Amino acid sequence: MNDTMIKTDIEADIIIIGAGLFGGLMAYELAKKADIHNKDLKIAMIDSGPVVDRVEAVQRFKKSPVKSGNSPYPKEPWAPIPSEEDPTDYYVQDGKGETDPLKRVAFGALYLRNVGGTSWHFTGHAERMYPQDFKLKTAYGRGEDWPISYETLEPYYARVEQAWGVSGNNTVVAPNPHPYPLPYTPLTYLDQQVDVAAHKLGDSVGPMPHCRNAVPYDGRPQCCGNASCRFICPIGAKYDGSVHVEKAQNLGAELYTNHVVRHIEVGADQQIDHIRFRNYEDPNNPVDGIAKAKLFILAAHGIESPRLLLMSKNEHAPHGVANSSDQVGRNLMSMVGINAGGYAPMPVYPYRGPVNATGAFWQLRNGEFRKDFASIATIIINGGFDPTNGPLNEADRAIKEGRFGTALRNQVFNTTATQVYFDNSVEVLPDPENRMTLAWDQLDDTGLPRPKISYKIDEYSVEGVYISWKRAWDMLWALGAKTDMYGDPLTKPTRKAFDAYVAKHGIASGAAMIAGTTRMGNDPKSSVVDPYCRSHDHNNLFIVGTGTYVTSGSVSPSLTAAAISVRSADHIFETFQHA
Amino acid sequence: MALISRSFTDLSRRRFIQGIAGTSAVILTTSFSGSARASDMMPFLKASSLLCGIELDRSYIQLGERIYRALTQGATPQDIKNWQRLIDVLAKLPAKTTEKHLHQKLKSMGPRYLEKARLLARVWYTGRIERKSGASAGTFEVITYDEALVWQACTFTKPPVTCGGHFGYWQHPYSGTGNI
Repeated sequence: MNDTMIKTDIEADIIIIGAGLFGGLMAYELAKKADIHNKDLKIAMIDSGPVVDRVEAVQRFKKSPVKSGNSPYPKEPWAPIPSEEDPTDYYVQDGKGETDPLKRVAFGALYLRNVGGTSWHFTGHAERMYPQDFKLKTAYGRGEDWPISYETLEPYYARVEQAWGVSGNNTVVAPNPHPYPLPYTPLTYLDQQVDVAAHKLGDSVGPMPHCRNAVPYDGRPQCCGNASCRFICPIGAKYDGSVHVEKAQNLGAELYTNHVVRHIEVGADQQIDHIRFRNYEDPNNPVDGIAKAKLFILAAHGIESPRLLLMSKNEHAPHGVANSSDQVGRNLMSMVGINAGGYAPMPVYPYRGPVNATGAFWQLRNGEFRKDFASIATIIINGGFDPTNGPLNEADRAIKEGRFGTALRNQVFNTTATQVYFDNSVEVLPDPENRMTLAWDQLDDTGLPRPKISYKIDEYSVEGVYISWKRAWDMLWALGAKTDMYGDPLTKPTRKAFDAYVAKHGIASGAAMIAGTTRMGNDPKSSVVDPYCRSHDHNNLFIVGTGTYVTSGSVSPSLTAAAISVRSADHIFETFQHA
Repeated sequence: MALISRSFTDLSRRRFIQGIAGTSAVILTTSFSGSARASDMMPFLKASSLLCGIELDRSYIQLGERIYRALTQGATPQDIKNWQRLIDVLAKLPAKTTEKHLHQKLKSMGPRYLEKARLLARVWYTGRIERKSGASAGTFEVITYDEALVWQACTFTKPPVTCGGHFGYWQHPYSGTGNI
């Protein structure tokens, strides 16, 4: 992985922009098929960031005072990303201070730009979407239907589950007709205590499917519960995109790191002729170059992909690449929610086992209620109020309250051992006015426009946020909690209290999903790519990832996009076979 | 959803510097400076043990030195004298001194000593220190993460990114000797 080539010009049959979760998997699938069919197929992956050294990443994480999702990873000035502490250090979003979610929602979805991509710090939850997620309009009269069905994707889900090594059983998410390749990941003791409370409310807690190894698998070790491991798995038990990047390299695919693609050049025939990049392998002497291929795959996630498409205007693509429909960057979706935490009256022992969650509530994910309010995914966070600094914050508080000696030690133990925290993610429907455009008046360090975000939600999602918030508080009451996570007395979750909270704080988007910005559809007038992820405008351009989503659902997004990508790779190879 | 608690958000509003503080230049005029003998550090460890409720034996000498350096970085001679006095007084108290007695003692010494005692306990427990003045004002230094005493207090867990045990250990209740 470290033998990265430094070239000014690149030529290949297929060039993949973005060596992340989907780009790497597609490179592998294509290289494997070429190998099986004894076909000469030159594949090159180009990524704006570096290869991640896992040992260095762990050290970087430990040295960082703020231990957030991005802390373990190198931050290169030529590949800027939003930070968890202040996403607007990269995103541009007007209207700061507006708390009405029908007018503005602070957008805080995160991603990484490196080899392996955002999957380095994703949760590892490998959930399928529900069959109804693909036909939301037909099933519940909301949103839109996708041009593909669950049944179409089912065999590709199964292939990705094999590739990633997914563990699970009868999970809380969509039923799986194929057995998961790995045994399920047990619920934590905390999950089990919450389950007791959930039964009092007619709900229950079930296990999540994970792509972290329940047994040694595919050359990677078994998970040993490195709580809190979400931001970096120190042993590689959790799958990440670098696994298949390396596998693709082993089959002959080339990898170019620290190469920032700045422009996609469309020819008079509406084919992609070449791309232009800047090579930062030597940061003090960046070199410009071009890359040529017969076919291009854009896999740079839900913000960087549309950003590049919109930046790449020329006389043959006056509105940007793949944008004759004016849909590139629109229909941005990222789940929203308000989390809730409190102190249980007995120790429940968080901070043990895989983070961020092994358990989730069964109810309110899919059903007739979706005619009235949005789907809800509530998970029980194994990492307490703050998965990395939570116990430190309890120590700070105890000392501030005057504790010393044994009393200090006991208070830190007690308050940390009793933390219960619920994470709510609520579905957001597609809205063309929710979009990413280019802030040409606010450039990044390399002179490219930063992404400008317009984001709000509708009453359908607000109602889902309220229902999920109320359930979380009801659950704290059912657990016997007396105080919330700030140490204040637990209050009743009334609608009035919810409205007052929202009026003061607003509703924020989550960190996990960026979808919809290169949406899939059959109609070139209202979508960017076809059901195989091929650009309606340019025959030799495919755009993959969660950007292709028509609706968001509420499950973790990665598995579905991976299944779509594998299906797309099959289609691309067949095209090459018959060419 | 992002996991941002109130205290975390407060923390993140400030500026940060990264890295281990032990390498920074310091002025040390106390008897247990950089070339300290083990015996020189013992009063500091004894005082720290009393405040933290966790016995800090000789294996903590190196970390103790790093913490003392971080505490006294940029300190005036008078401030260092104050630290020394606090340590001397606390080190002479019986190991089983109650929290109430400790407060009485610190109160009798004056408010600055109570604040110093809190700071000392805080740095041991969290492994980090906030810089209040100078060029680094408003920033945090990480002295240690894995060795922060909070992980000793929370015996049911380990520092993040540390192997917790065999697969599935988390489904069972903690069976150790907690203090709850």
